Amino acid sequence: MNRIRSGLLFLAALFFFYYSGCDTGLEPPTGESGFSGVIRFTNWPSTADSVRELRLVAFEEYPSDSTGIIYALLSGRAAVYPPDLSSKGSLPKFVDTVAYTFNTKNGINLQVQTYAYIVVAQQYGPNIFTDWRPAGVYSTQPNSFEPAPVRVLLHRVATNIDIQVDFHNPPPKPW
Amino acid sequence: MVTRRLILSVFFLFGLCSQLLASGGSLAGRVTTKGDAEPLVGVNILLLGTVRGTTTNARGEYRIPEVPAGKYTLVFSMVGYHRETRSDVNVEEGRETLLNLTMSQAPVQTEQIVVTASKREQSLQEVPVSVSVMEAGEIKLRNSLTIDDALRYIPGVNITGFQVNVRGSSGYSRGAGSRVLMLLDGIPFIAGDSGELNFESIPVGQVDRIEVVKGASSALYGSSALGGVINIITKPISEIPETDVRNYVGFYNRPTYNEWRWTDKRRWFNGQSISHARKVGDLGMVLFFSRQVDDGYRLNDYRRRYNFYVKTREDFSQSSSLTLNFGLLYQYGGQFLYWRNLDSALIPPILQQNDNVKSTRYYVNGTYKDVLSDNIFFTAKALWYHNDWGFETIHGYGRAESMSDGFRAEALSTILLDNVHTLTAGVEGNMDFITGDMFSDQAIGGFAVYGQDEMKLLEELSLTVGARFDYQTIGVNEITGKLNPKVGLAYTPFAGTVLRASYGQGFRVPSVAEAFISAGISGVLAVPNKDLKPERSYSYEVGLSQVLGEVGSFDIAAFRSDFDNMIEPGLVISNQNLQIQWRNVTEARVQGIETSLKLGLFDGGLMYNFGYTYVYPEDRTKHDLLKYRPRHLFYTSLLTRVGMFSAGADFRYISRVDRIDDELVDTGIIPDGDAREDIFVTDFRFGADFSFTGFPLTATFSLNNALQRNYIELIGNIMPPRTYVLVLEAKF
Repeated sequence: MNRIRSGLLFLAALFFFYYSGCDTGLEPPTGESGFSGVIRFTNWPSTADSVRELRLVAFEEYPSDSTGIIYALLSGRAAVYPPDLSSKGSLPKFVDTVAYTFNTKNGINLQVQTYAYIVVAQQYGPNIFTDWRPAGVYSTQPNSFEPAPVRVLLHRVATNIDIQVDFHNPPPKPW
Repeated sequence: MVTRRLILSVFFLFGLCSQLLASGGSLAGRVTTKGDAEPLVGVNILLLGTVRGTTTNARGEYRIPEVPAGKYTLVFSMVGYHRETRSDVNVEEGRETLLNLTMSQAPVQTEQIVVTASKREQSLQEVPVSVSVMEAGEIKLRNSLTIDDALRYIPGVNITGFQVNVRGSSGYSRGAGSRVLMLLDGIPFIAGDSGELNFESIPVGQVDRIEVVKGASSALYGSSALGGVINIITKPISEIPETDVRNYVGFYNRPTYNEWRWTDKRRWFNGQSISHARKVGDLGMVLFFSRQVDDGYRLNDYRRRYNFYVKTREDFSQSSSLTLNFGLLYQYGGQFLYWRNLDSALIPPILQQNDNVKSTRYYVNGTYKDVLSDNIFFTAKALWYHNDWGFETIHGYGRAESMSDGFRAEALSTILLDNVHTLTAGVEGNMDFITGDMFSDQAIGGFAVYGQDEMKLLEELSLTVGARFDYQTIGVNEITGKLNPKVGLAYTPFAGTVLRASYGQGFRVPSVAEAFISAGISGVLAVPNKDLKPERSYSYEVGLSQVLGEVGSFDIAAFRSDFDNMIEPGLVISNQNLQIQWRNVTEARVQGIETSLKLGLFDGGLMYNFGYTYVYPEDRTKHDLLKYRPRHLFYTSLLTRVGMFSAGADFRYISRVDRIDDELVDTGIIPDGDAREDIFVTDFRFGADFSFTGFPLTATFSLNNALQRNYIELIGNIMPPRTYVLVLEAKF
């Protein structure tokens, strides 16, 4: 009788152990990598022609290359948001703010790495290769054009990467 | 060389003394099992109120010579049997008194003998601090391949990346330093350079039992014992020739997710060991050899390990003996520091794919024991521990190596002054010589004196008071001289009920690694800090243990430890580079409760163990929780035996650690490093004993992590998936 009782109790305990641990625990993550924030616009130009397109561009290094954004993008040293490269793919124009999330799925070229220079780029002329200038830059200093780096971590979206764009007071043009 | 000669001279001198002191009568007899009258081997026999005692031989016989004439109380104890006491045993001058005895099996061992709490044999019930004991049988049942594997099942103990944490005293310090002192047969056994505990140097098959003292124990053991002490006691040499052949083979289950499958090949592990014990006259010897091969379940996590071990014991007389141990470990393998990311959890970062580590470690230790007179017991111990290890990284910092030679020596005496006072006093010294590029050349050392008095104030009340003074230098700016006191009370209001309370201070001098390291760790350069100060702890504990009749025992304790100048590794930025440095950063308090229950139900047909520990580890400087400390530890196990078959199950729950090194995650050094969850691990095992066939074979099949829980104990390190292990052992 004791042996039967021992066996039954043992089986009951096994049942408890089994259900206590049947969750599989850690699993490969599914989240995207990137960063997000808000772009605040002030002093929009009076003529729509001078703001043909607006793009958020993340440069791996501060772009000293005179060949500009397109070359950096083609060589993989820059990432662009939004990903639609047609004129319809621009960031919204003539609005006060735009909330964005730039990640490895919805951006072009965005990698898990550090980006030294995050900029809102404005196409101000008809030449898609050369007519670009920065309209706003991500900086951690208030009222400053000192670029701040952003680290893109795997399966994480960094928040509060906010950028101020003042069309009357654009940052210096590095390219 | 001079040290060795000195030790031999001391041994010789005391051996001579013991011969001169021989006189009186003797006690002898035979101990057998109740019912079938089989001889019981290894029963401990103690003359109460003296330091005299012996154990039974292969025929169950014992003899205690040179006992002064008088009346004595004899205590017979053995694991798995009820303790027996015989009072008023008369010994007459020049005559031998015969006393035969039978002992009956106990479903649960409630009166275990421990040696670590007071550096002498005493009943677990008499000890004023919390002590857990794991016997060899339990280690064997679980097929634990290393001692740290076995420690995972002791209440209040958890492992983080090969580092032992007792009741939240330690977090994770990357292998440098330990707040838990490891002893091998009572002698400090920690690497002279890194200060870490190298469990793999001691073959698991030769362990008799592991005792874990929880809380500050520096008043007896000095530096490093501020969180607790783990004493690994090796098996005594069998009285009859014995050969043990053991073979295991197993494999890892495939990973749960396709993303983690980095190879199509099954990953195997296996091991073989053989040991032979024999006694010729007064000389006993054990020879042991083992080989372990592990493919590893992760890329670059393979391992090959070879252990060779010799133990000899010479009985000079019934009252004096010399035991010598020699152990050699050679191992090499890949070095898996952390995963590439949680998508690729079983492969390391590309730059670490070829990292490897190689170790050669050997030690010689000796223990001389002598009963100098009826109430004076003397022990001298010495150890030489050589440790050579290095790692190689192809793309990182090249090759780094460290070699250390550590020497420890201790002489202690236990004196039974009268029926009230038991004094223990001793001196201890250590020297470590370190060479290599990892910690540069160092020579460190120190000495200590200690003493304690265990006072039996009343039949039901005992008080222990002790202190130890340590002088230690390690080459940092502050030389350490510390006095650590302790006091403990044990009160037995009723038979089987013991109330205990204790206070003790602990301290730890920084290890050479923490002060002088200059090497890459976890992909970050570690830099030295010669301004490190020793850390201190103050431990308090109250507890209650209760024997539950014939069926088991219960224990509950509340504990608190305060730490000053706690040494923690931290990331610092120097010249825009990230570096690791050990610093005195924190005042901390670790407090909590611990309960344990042992039951043997249905005449021992079902054994049940339960342990729960709640820890609140508080960083009082930052008003936050300490890193790498889980707050809840829960263990439970079952074992049932039916005829030749046995079955068992273990379940562990360890709560998710609240804090880790966020810097390692935020800076991207360990991608997804903050991924961690509660740990639930279930193991099953089934055994069969085929000795009824005439061939002494046992077989055990284990399913470890049977439910394939994916969990980590250390950031960036997934623990093994389900493993299948078959063990075959023949003992003849």
